[in-house]
Amino acid sequence: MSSFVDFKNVYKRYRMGEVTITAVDGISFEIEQGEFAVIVGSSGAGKTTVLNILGGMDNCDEGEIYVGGSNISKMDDKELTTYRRYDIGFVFQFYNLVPNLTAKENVELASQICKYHKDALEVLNSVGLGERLNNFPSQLSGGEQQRVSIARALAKNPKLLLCDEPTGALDYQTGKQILQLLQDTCRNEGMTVVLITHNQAITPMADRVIRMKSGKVVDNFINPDPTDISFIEW
Amino acid sequence: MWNNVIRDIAKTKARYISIMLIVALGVGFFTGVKATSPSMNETAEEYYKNNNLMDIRLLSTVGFSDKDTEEIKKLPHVRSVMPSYYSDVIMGDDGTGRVIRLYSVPTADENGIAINQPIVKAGRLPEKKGEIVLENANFNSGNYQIGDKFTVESKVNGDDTKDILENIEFTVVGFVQSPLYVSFDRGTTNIGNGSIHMFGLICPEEFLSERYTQMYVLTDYSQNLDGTINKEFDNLIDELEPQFKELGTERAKDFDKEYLEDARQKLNNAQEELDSEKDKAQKELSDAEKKINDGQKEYDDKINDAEKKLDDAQKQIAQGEKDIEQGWKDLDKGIADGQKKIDDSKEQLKSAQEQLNAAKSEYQKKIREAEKELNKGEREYNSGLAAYNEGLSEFNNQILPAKIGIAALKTSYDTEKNKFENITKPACEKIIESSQNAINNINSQNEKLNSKLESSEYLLQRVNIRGEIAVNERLKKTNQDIIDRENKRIEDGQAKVDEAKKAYDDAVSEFNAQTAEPKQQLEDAKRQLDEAKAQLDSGKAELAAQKLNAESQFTAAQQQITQGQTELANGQQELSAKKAEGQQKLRDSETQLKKAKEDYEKGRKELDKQKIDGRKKLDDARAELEKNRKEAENKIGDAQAKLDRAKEKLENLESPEWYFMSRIDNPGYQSLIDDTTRVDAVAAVFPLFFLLVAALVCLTTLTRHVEEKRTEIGTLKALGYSNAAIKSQYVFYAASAALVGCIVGIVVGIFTLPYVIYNAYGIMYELLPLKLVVPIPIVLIGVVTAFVCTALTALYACQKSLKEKPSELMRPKAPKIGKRILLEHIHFIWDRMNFTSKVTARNIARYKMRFFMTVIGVAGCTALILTGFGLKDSITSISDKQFGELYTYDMIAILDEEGTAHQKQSTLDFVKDNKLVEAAMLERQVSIEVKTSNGKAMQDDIYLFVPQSVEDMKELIHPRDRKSGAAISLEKDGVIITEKMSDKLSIKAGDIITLADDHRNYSVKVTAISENYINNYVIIDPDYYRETYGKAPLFNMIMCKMTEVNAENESILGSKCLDNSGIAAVSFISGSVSTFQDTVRSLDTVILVLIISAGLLAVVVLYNLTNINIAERVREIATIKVLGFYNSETCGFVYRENIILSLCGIIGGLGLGVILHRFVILTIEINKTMFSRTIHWQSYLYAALLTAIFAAIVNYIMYFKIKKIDMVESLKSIE
Repeated sequence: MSSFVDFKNVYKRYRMGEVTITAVDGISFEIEQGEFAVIVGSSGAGKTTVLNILGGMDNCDEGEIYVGGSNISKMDDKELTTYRRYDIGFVFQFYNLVPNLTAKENVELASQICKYHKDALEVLNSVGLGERLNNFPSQLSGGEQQRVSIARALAKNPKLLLCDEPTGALDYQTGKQILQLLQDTCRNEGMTVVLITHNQAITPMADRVIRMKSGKVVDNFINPDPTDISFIEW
Repeated sequence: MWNNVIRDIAKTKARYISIMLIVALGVGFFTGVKATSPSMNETAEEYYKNNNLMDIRLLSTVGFSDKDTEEIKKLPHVRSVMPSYYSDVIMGDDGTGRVIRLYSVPTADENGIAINQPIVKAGRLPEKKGEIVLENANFNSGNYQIGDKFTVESKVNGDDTKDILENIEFTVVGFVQSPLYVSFDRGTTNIGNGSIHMFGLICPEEFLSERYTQMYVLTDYSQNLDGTINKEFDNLIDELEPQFKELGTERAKDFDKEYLEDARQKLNNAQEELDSEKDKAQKELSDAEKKINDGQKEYDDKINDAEKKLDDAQKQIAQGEKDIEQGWKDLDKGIADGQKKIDDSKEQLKSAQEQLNAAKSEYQKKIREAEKELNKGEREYNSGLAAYNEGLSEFNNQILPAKIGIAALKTSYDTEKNKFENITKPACEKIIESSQNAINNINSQNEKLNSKLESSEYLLQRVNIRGEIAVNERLKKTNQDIIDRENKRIEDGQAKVDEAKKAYDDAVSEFNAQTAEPKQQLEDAKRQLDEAKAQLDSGKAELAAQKLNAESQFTAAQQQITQGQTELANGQQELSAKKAEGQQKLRDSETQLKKAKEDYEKGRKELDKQKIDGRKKLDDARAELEKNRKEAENKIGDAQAKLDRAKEKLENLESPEWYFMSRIDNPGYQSLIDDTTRVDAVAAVFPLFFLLVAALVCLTTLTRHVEEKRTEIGTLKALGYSNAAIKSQYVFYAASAALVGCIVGIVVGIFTLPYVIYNAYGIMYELLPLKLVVPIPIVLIGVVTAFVCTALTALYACQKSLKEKPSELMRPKAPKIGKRILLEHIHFIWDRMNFTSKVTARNIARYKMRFFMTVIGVAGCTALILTGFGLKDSITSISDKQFGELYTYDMIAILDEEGTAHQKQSTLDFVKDNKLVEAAMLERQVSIEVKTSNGKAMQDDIYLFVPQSVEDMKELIHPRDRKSGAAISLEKDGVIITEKMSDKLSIKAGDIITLADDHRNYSVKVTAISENYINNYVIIDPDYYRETYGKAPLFNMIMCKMTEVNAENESILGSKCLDNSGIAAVSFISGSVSTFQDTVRSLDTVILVLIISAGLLAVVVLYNLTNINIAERVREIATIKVLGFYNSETCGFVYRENIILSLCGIIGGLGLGVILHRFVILTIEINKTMFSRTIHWQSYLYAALLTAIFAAIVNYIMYFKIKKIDMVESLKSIE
């Protein structure tokens, strides 16, 4: 039985005029089900590209990617959409909430298209926003917005939760709370979480750490003893 | 810096081009349509001026002389006068009786001015007699080639063409176009079928008339005024009319003196002579007629008598026939009844006989059985009797010995007895008797002695008496002894007898005892037999009795039956007899009747013959009279006709009159002006609308453009560029787009639209090629508007951005924040909406500006299309309504005004007699002016309409209320006016209006307002007219409805009517209708232009706005794509708004379209016409559908754009 996520020799190149940039340069890694994986690397290391490819937002040029046994690298646009729809939950750095929908509606926006979705109210309660259901994003703080964003991703009941620098736009304390929330989700619900960050300090909390540099995986190890986020400081 | 602008433009190609396009569209449409009307006008003006279109045309009842020409020239403002000829003749080539109007070729005056100079399109003008040029435009002259022969018919209205023209055969030498005829309308005439088919030009020398038939006058106005197609010119020309009329009256006096005195005298003499002749003939004829009438009367009386008698006979015969028929019926019925009764009886008898027979057979069966029984009994009895007899004889044999013994005993007994009784006994008894006697003596003596003893008291005596009694007693005793002895002897004898007897009795009883049993048996048998015998006998007797009885009954029954049959036979016989009798009687009657009939027929035939004979004689006489009369009348009539014609000619000449006509009287002249005006009116509305929408779109697009560039503005500002420099960049962007758009729009608009529209009208008009006039002010308005909308908007938007600090500008402007919308507070609705509807609702509310823009754009599109279709509906339907529903006459015959009422009536009868005519009516129609009490007045195209009879009018015109469609009847105390006039003058039902007719004013009451589309009418009841005007209406037209309308019938009817001297001209409605249809056809082009531009408008607006919408929401769209929305769902997310907005736009547009349509209709209407206010429902549908299709097209294009949105790029862009 192969791993839950399996990258096999994946390449992604961008053509910019005459120059071709290889953003992902033949990387391979595996993530097991229920793991909290952190992909860490500096800007331009290709980690966002990896996440985009993993999330079905982008195609790779070479190599094979298996998620839960399906080869997503062979999917066309429509299949990828279906894949995003039922299997993936995204959390962005800038939350990407729809500004003229309330918190609850933003969650519903995602849940209404999924078959096995969770109840929007419950999810919002579980992220601690039970009181702010009917607020518009502009009326929420950054941390709250990110919670809505996480709630939106979780409401879809995805197989894989992808987070792109979720704390990037947040202050230290709020960032920690968000990470706590993600870690709890992983622990309590057995959700596979892939988080990318440039912040090395976060790595101790992960089950698996994948270190990237210039489009290559330079390190991939399992953390035998993940630390609780509250003990991590940076 | 400028590189930046160029790059900017290259990067936002779609936006830049769409601004360009919308500007081009708005400005181009505006200037193009606006340029059309002036161009058309200018084309016409130039045409008229270059070819010296006459200003005034003079006609006269007697023509003109050179002297007249000189006099006219002297009048003020007259620049040039051209006397000329014209004549209407019938084209002789095809027998259709079509009319060609021949003019003399214009001749130049001393200044070289030739009025109505034709344009030679091919060949040359005629130079000598026998040559002709034909008109270029007429399709029918296409059959002719230069060099062809052209002939005209030798007769015109009963006159010889040769009296008018020198030649009737011409050679075609060329084709021309004349400024007199700008449309295809050639006007009317009073010959042929009443309408002029084409015109031609020939040399003046061809006309044989010694006087000119018309004068063309050119005034200095047409030379000096800027333009002639305007009211000013018309009014100036009209002001000249009195001076020409005056001159006409003056010239008439001269004419009278010169030509008419003598002729008048001669005519009068001739008339007198004729009248006396006429009277004489009349008298002779009357005498003859009287005689004939007397004969007729006598004949009639006689015939009537005979006929009356015959009729009586006929009646009687009829009665007889009826009676006989009834008799036959009765007889048949009686016979049938009788027969039925007999048959019934027969049936009854038959059944009785059957019953009897049955009873008989039953009876006989029974009798047979009884007899059988009886016979059996008898046989038994006989055998019993035989047995008994045998037994008896046997018994007797057996008792014989005993009997002998008994007989012996008997004999002895008898002997003993006899001896005793006969001997012993009597002897004894004798002795006894004597002794007894002796005793009886003694007894008697003793008694006497006893009595003496008793009576004797003396004892001696008593003892003597006793001694005697005792002696007597001893004697008595002796006698008694004797008696006893004798008795003893008897007793002994008796005993002996008894003993014998006893022996015998014993024997007998022994015998009896011995024979008792067998004897008893025998006796029993005997008794039984006797009984059986008795029974048998009684049975026999009974049977016999029964038989007797039954038979007697049967006999009786049979007798009855027989009797019944006899009776029946009698009845039948009787019935037959009666039948025969009845039949005989009826036959007799029939025979009689037949005879009577024959007699009657004979009588009738006789009468008929006499009648015919009589009538023939009378007819002959009458025919003779008629012949004589006709001869006389013909002679007189001919004479009178000659006289009349002479008189008429004289009369026509007597009061010569000049008729003054201006350009407006030229066929087609006014309609060209009307159409041009109409184009201008359309031009006033539509392009402005376009410009407005274009401006709004530019506004939104540019505002957005500047907002998108805020970072750049911020950067530039931070880098130290001056505000002006930054502004100029965006103003340049906008202005360059506008400039290019303007140039493209103006060039394309001005060089296409006028031509397109002009060509559309070219179907109806024959002008010169369009002379394009670029209306500079209009172009300026367009350009200025375009620049204001683009450059100024850019400037304004920039200004707004530049007010912010560079640092603020560097940050992206946050997307519009979400807000609760009003609808959310209406829980009732909000809670019921599904999620996507809620999102849509909030989005619509979020971008209100765009909402309005989209709705306005789409509404504009719908409104334009609806107006286009609506215009067509309105204009198309008026000819159908006017000539199909309101006015159902097909022909108007214009009467000779001079005719008497009687003559007009007979002309009407003449028209009515034609089999092509379904209904016809005399009417008066004159142009009048209408004034209202509040000072408004209207004088163009108003006609007073007086029908001869309201009843006849119902066949021909049908006034009705437009809104309700209810028919309006013409009241005796008021007039009906038409709707257009009532609108213009704001007249309501019940108002009093003033009719200015022939310089006098008449007040009338308005009772109703009728739907009407072409011209304006005041319809008045003839009686009300009489009352108001104080005189009877002078009818001048016949309105006429045909049985079947087609070109052939029209031609036939037209020439028939014109043959009648009472009819001056005819015109057919179909002509007006087809002219109208041409107008409508040209409208198709206009509508197509409208639809195309409206479509472009819709597409550009929707494209632009959707584009902006997508651009602003690109993150949102990317986000939902990431969430896993399929493309169709994503598009739905965006489009739902578009669709809703489009729907709002369509609905609003339909409303707006109705208003716009109404506005345009009211604008382009002229006094003469009213367009229908109704838009068909199909037009609403088309407008909505077309708009929806345009919206769908934009959405389809946008689908690809949405599909192409890159999630990664879009979400990244925020850094």
